[in-house]
Amino acid sequence: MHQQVKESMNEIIGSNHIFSEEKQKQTLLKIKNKKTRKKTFQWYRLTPVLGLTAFLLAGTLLFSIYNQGDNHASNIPEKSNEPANEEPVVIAGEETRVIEIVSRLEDKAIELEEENSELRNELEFLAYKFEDTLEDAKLERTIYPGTDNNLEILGYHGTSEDVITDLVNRPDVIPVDGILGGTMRFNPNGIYVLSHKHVYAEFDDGHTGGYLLLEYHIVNGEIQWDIIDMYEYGDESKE
Amino acid sequence: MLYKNAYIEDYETLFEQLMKDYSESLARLAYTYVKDRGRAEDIVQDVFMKAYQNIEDFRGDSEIKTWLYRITINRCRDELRSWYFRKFFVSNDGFEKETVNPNETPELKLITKQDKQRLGKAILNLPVKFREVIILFYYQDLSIEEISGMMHVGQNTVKTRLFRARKKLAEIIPEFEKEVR
Repeated sequence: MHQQVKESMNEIIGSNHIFSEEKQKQTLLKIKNKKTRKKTFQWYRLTPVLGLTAFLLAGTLLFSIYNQGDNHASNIPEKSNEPANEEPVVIAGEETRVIEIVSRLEDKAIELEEENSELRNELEFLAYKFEDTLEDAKLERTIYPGTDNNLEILGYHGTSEDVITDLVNRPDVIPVDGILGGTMRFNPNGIYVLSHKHVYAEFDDGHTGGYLLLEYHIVNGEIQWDIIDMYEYGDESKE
Repeated sequence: MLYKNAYIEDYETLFEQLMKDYSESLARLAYTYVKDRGRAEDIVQDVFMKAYQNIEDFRGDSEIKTWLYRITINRCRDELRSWYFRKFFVSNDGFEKETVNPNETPELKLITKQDKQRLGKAILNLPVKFREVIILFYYQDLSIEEISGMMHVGQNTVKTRLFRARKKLAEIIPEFEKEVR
């Protein structure tokens, strides 16, 4: 079958390359022009904050230096006996502290950026997983796993999906009439093939409705429906 | 980065190699979703650009080939879901320009071509979730395990989809019935 599929698909798609050499060169050129890594939203958000923080720290530092300079000038006569190199040591310490803080903030920004990127990947992965689970749930409308095989053994040329379609096209199976001009119909999304014998089905007419538990038989490849039990909205005896 | 047992330090060289190795099979995969050569080509370009931007995040949990296939599948699904694609895009329905073979009469050529294309057209008309497993398994020669990894679904789900896809194909092409069993 592999060979058949390949030959047939190649016949449709053609033997010529889809992704041409020219396009390859163009893509490589684009890659070369995009050497720097894409800056994330986090980067754009944190950079101004970091810039502002650095600016404020530098301003505070300059202001304190200026103030200390003033104090020093006015206190010269009293402080003339103090060691001359004390003031530069204090300023050097402040500068180191500021550099340390800025560097720590930068590290934190990089860390947050990486975390953000990981979380986004995780989110993307979960979104696809969720989507696939939903798809699977729609796909797996049979509760008993061997239903399709059993249907085949019983001589039915279809799957549980076809059983659903058959029931949707048989509104006459519903034993109650619609009210206020509505017509009772099965809800295709509310039909569950429980096994090769039983089906649970929801019906309504737009105003009221209910559920049916049905038994079905395959006779000469066709389905015959029998009602086992029914619940109609407002049926107090079954609530 | 380790690729095919060789260490490639420069990402540009790596991508040049990746493009040589996988661009065509990715483009053919994309074609089976969008059914248009130009669009498939653009999608593959996007895939390589996206892969390049995120290569540092690639943790090497899977093969780089699986990763590229996964990006392509996701990109194609996005394309099919996109408003633009659904509203404006008109597919060429899988017809390419014919190449002339002087030894074939036009009638014979038409019959042969139609016959060969029958299965492919049936596959391209399957719903996406069935089409993609058939293409990945039979056309791209990927294993159930690889398909399960790149689609984030269980191996049993892949097997179920393959089974159902084959059944659907058998409904369209009766000769195909024996393949289902």
